[in-house]
Amino acid sequence: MKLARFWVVAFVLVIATFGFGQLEAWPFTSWYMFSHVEPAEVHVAEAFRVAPGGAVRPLSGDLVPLGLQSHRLLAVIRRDEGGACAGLLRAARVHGGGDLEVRVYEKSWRVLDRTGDRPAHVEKKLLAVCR
Amino acid sequence: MRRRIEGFFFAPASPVNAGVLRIGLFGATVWFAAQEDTARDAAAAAINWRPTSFFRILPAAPSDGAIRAVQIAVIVVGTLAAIGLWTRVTQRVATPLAAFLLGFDSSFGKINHRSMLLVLLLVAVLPARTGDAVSVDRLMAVARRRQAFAVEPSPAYRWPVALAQTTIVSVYFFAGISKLVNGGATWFTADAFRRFLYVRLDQLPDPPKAGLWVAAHPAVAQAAAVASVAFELSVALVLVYPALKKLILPGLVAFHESTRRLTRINFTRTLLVAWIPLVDWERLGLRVRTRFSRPKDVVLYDGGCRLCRRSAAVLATLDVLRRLEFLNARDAVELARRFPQLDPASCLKDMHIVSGGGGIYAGFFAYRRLASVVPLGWPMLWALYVPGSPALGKRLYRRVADSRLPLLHCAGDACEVEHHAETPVVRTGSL
Repeated sequence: MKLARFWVVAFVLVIATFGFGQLEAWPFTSWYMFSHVEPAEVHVAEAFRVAPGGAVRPLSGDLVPLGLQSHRLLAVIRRDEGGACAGLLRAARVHGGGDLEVRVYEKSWRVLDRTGDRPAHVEKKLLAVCR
Repeated sequence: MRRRIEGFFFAPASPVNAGVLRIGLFGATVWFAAQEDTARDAAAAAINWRPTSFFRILPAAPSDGAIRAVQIAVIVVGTLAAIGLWTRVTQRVATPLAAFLLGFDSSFGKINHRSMLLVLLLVAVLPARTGDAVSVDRLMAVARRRQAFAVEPSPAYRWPVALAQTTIVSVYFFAGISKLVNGGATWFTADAFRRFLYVRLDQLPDPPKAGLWVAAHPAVAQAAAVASVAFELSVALVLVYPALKKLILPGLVAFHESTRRLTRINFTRTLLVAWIPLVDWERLGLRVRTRFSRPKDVVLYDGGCRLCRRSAAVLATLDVLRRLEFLNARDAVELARRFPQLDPASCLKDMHIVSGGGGIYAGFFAYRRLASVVPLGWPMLWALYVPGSPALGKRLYRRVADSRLPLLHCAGDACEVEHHAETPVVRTGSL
């Protein structure tokens, strides 16, 4: 039972350390989830694929890992545009074939300014062009 | 306080809840593992490999073949751990494999929160003895002894359940604490919760109406914000006041289900896993047993036959509803006293069951009766009633029953009785 006692104490201490310290190392994670207050104005990124003929279509969420979507894409592209572009191009080419271009737009809107169920105004600007 | 904590973690307990915990955790592991789309994971890893936690030790993103191999291993070894076969080994092998497979998609730029609780619990109970009840290992031990036996209560069976419960409440508790620390009082304002909802709903092509409705009503949104944090913090109270489980367990369902309906954020996996250690399965089983108690069926077995004693011991262990009683058919006095209508010679030739209602079943029909009484037999019960199966069953039974006679050193109707012929099947054992 000595080993069991040691294990229980150690495990509880690790959980408490990670929890109170807000530390992250999967699977000791998730404490912070949804804990930050969202800003009044939201900024996210959205990727579009441009076919050689010029047709523009959203790069579907099914093709792109969650880490390259929404606010995470925005953070990655600001931090490491080359890496993010390489990933987006790979996703577009794996599923689309041919020479493609990926454009990343930043979308922003004030969440509480509404017209019915939709945001009153969404601003969109080109953030990056990946070739 | 110290004594209370000591009692919570190390009071002697029966092995049943630890066994059910093992079945639940590894059953969920196998289920979740089977749902993993390894080809998609490999493609995502190739696109955006950003290893987190222990995945940083990998030199590169693993291939689809490698992930699939781990998936198959998790399913196979996890199934063995769930049924409790070679539990000590399979539990220790399945846990790191499951941590790899179920955590793998946290390395594509977003942490996977769906499976973290399951893996956390698998790690928490990694060194625990969970195979001493409701397991194949237990049945094998009973078969080896040819006698059902009770496992003594031990602290070794209490701490895995207690640590799993502590881990679960910690996850909710620290989620609540994080909101207090990171969000502060602002987190509880109506607008903060409305923003939380709208940010997610605005990015859905078809946002749920319920979520939009709550976001459009500030008072409701504020109430939801306060209620959600209050609930997260109060989950921890079940460790001190177990009676609160009656509120907390349905509360978990309401909490996760309302989150899913309002935002489409799906934590069903977390919910399922959280229930496993928090429910007192042993007590629940006892209630079910009491609620559905009926007169017992008496199984007449040949106490002079090793195979029959072993079968009776295994049956006694599988009889979780306590619907069976065992009587050695070689005990002529007791047999004549209780069932004078039975012929002792035919009781030795074929297995007999006298039902609680007085019905007599022999041979194949006795086995069919057992399948209706022992829950493990329920899934195959229908097959024993299919037209033609009684004829086939009787032939099969005859062949097996007759083949045991040479093993008993029988000559005609006279069988050599073994030294342990009178060993009773102890009724205190449990699966």
